[in-house]
Amino acid sequence: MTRIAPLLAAALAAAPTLAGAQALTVKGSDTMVILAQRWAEAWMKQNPSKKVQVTGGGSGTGIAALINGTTDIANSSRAIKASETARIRDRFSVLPTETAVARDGVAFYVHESNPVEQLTVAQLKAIYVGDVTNWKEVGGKDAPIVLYSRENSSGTYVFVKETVLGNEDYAASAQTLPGTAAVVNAVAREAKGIGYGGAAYAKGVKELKVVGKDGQGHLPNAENVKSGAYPLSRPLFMYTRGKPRGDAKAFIDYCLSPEGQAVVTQVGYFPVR
Amino acid sequence: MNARSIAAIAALALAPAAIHAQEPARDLAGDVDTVTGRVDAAAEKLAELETTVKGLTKLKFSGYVQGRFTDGEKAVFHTRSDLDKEGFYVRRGRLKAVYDAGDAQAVIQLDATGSGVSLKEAYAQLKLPWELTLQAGQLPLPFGYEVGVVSSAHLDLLERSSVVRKLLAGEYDRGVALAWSRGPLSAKAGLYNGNGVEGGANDNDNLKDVIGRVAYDLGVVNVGLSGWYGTLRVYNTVGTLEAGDYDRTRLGLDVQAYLDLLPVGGTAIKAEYLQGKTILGKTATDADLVKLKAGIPQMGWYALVSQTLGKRDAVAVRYDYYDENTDLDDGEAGAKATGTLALAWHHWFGGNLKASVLYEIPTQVKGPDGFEDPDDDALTFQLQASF
Repeated sequence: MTRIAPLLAAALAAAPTLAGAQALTVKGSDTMVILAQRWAEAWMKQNPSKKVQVTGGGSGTGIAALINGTTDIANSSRAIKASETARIRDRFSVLPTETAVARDGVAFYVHESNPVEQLTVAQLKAIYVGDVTNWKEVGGKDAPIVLYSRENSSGTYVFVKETVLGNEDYAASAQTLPGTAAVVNAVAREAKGIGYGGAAYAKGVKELKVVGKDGQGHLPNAENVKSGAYPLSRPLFMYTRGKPRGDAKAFIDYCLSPEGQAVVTQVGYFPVR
Repeated sequence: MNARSIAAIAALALAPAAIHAQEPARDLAGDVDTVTGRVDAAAEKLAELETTVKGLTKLKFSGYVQGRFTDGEKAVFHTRSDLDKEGFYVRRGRLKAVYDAGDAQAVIQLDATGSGVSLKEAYAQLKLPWELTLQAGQLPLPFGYEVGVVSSAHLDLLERSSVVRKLLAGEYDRGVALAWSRGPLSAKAGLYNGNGVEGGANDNDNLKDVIGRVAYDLGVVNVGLSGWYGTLRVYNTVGTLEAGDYDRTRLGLDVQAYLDLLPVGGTAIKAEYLQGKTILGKTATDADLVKLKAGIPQMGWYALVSQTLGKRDAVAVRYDYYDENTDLDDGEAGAKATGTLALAWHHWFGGNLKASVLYEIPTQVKGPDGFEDPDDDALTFQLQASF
């Protein structure tokens, strides 16, 4: 039993790592990064002794950080995968907890000079898998389509692949850009371009109407997203290892409060409450 | 200043403009063509590079290295001879390559230790309709939790339980298997040589074993039921081992529960029961077959609790029991059952580096002379790096 002494000594040496307040880390979805930063600023104003660090990198990056223990909260614009849940369970002996904190309409943007006003989901799929390569095939000018997409660590990339492309691969010609802001910037400069991202980011570009189940084209605005008329809407999530506790719980509670949900609307997304 | 001076100054001032006016006008259209050409060439190279990189992303490498120091007490009478170590060694050095072409996959895993390099895994996988997957080659045994589910890099107590290390020794075998999953229900079963891969074992007979596991995963609780039906054929009598067919069967039940009760972190409770006949090992010679305890009924189980402490630490405790011959009672000659209490603490330095300390206390709970606790405890330190 004396051999257990080194084991106990090692455990005691680790004790400082278990104690002590540190900044709350929030990492992940680029779709949510501006929203999360606004929440963080407002929450820190109410709680001056608390610190929140918000970074992007994509939903996949955030969930990977949750698995590695390098973030407290993972922002994600897609649902966590079964394999990721299993990895968190194996590593931390606990299941991840999912909290929907906002809703987002995934918008498809074109240049403001593009005469195309609306597309069906089938047409969007045909464009992004490379079956349609000229704007004239969808009612536009005779010009080649320039595709902009996101990196595969992006939840928006995954959402579009699953919901629009039916899990088919993106066209090889699609240019990969790091973040929705970069996509918007590229489309704003390229008259033949098309890109996608959170509706809140659409500045200087034209959002396309997408034809819903009623056969009508709908913009990704609050009314259409809430009613479900806009077919490409999704919840935005925060994930924690196990039930949210301590500062993580307090922060998420703030995000879901009336004040926090008002921030959602200000940023351009849609509240869940 | 007179007119002549003014004229001179003016001439000097206008001279550069005059010189420039005499140069030929720049061919701006040509410059644009040149730049456009360079941009097109760069775009072409980029497209080629993207195609190459896209192909490379289908090939993924992963692996881990476990460096250890074990200080094992030595006793004349050992309950666990595998703990009779003193010094530094590489327990596992794994390199795994997976090529994922969508519907098809190729997997190779090597293990490099001080004893040499061996093949752990090597199989081809094909996705079929109806959520089915076909695998053929050297595959993980689809049995139990410690072998069928958990990687050697993520074991709560660094090593598998005693009964698993005997009845499922080597953790892999050669064969073909079909896997299926839908929602919480999953199943995997296959036809295997049945001899495992210990010592490069080949199939010594023309009989094949059927091995499989069914699991139900409710998230918080996961339950698995495993079965193994097979036969070891001994062609020649060797010493006490007579020629004939011997049962090589197993039945296993495993359960894992994940509880989010304590603010410090999650609590996992895991247990597994396994009974069977004929252990796995070398089958190259008749002498090897004698060591396999052919047809002898054995049984074992373990129960463990693992507690996460914050983001970087975890502790675990396990008791595992293994009876090498359930036909013999305590006090009978040849009777041997071992109970091992193991305690571990793990610390993660980020996502890729983990330090562990393990203390194991084996006791003989059944034997010719009853209960014994010889001085054969072992203390192990491990540093594991993974990528």
